[in-house]
Amino acid sequence: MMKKDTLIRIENLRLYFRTGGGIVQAVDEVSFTLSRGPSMVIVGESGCGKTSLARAILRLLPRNVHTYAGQVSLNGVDIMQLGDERFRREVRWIRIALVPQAAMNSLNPVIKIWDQVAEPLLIHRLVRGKGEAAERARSACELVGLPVDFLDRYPFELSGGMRQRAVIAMALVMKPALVILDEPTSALDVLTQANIMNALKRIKREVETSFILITHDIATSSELADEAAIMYAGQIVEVCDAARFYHEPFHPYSRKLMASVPTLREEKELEFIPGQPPSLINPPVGCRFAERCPYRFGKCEKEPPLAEVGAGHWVKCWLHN
Amino acid sequence: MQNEILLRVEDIHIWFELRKWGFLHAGFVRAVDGVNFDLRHGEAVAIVGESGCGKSTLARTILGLVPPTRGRISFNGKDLEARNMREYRSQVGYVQQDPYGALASFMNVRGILEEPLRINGVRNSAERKERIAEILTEVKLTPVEEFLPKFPHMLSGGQQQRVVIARSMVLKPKLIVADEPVSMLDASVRVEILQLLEKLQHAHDLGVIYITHDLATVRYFTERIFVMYGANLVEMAEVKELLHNPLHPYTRALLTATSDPDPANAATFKEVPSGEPPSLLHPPAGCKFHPRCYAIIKGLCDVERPLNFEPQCGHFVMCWLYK
Repeated sequence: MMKKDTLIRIENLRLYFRTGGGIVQAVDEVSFTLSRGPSMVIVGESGCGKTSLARAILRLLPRNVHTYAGQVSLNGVDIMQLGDERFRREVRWIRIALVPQAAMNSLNPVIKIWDQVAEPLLIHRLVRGKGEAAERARSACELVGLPVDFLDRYPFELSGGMRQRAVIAMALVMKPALVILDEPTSALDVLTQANIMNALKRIKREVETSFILITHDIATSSELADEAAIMYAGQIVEVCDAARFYHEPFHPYSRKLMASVPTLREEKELEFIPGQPPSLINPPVGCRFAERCPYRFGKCEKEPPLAEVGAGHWVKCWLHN
Repeated sequence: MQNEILLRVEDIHIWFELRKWGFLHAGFVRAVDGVNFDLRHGEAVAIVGESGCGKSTLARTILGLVPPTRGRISFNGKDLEARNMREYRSQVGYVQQDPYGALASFMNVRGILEEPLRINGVRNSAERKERIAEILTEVKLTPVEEFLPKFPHMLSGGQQQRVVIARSMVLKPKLIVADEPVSMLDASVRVEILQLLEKLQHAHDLGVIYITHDLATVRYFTERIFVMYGANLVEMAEVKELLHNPLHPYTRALLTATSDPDPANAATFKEVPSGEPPSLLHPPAGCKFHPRCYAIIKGLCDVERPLNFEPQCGHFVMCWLYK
């Protein structure tokens, strides 16, 4: 069943939060598989649970967790079974690293970039001394295109693009097998964004690291996508390869979403999706997109399964089942 | 011709003085440095530029919120300085970037829309009510009665932005300044708001200044694009002309860097100029783009500020390549 080169396999991952209004089903029965090598984009609108998914994979949980269940296997080992301390020592940042949202603004202002990039190495005692840590930090910076003399500066002396590179270097310094990038370029200018994407593409070719890119920016996501997962209201509704997603996805939501993306080079009529996503507190029974879906029919009252319709192509819709 | 022009911006400079220890002069931030353009009645233009290029400062000056250091703005042929500001602002609407921040959280939709009417002397409450219902129907927040008592936090992002648009339109302005009206919204809602703005623009023959950093959304309703870089408008042209025949090296870079959703992107690298936008406190001599430009003419671009050339009719570019 399990392919040999599977890097991470997520099955029925659930993360619910307790809030004053009720239980928020932020991540609900999410399953997907990513092989070693290709990178995946997880696309969804705000509030669909994509950041919670990243946090669930890395077990970076807030206090108000209600349910946290499912399976996450990395290289065939179920890391959900590990105790918190072992998870911290062996998985987080060592094998899976995260570039959190707006991370470039959360660098410590009174610590030099160098110390911040090398910090995980020293904490996990994976290097023999500061000299080796500096060496590793330097090579991580070269990888992301951050000039080496910037290492000796403080975060406020760097521009937004350079700070973002520093944060990506922090994630890469331990040479993890998987890096999750949560909206890495959304606060940056167009030219800087393109520069960072170029750097990420280069890293992908040079280093054996897979990326999961979480974003709402569909146009930019195509820069890094080999595979795509589309998220809606806490669930993954379609998983397919990039060519399929950007040209002719199956799920009505994916289609509508693609039709709403303005393009520069191609003339097309833009569409929008009327209505708004359902609340994740008591989400509707059945298909969660049904209310806004133009193709809905009787069967949509029951929840469709995420079914495989082609090789590596999964759709959660009764139309394709 | 003259009376067709709604807004004329002539040689506007907006400099902010920096002080050291509160009283020593420490230089000027040249946020806008010599901008000229005309906006015709009922015309929509986009000002496109990266953060820190001065586009929002320019918008604030057009709204009369920041006085220009030098230069003139005239609206309907009359100088802004000579105008009654209350009367001017009733004719110019402002759509802010962040709808949630732009709406007072303690006021409901009725209060938010009533305030501008009350301030501008609509004393009759029935008249106010009628106008509010009219504008809410126009921005498609219907049934009106259902939305009137709602507070901003009870609305979705798209609905909040509609309330902001309704507020900017409630006094029947002739000009709308929209500063990144859709950048905080989700992809599926964004188009809806853009189409609404377009509809309103056509229905009321509005002048629109649409400020954005996203070139891809621009072509859907504006007629001309102004590209701003380092406090100047470096290129001005009709949308089609600019997208198909960009002249300024910066515009070209911007167009190259903007991605379309195309899986082929993953296989190629983009040619993007390295470096950062110029400091507006100490801008580079000559053309402000010259340190990043691939077509730099040594001895000219790094010495002398380029003039505004017009290589094709109606297509202006501030670049020595076209002298």
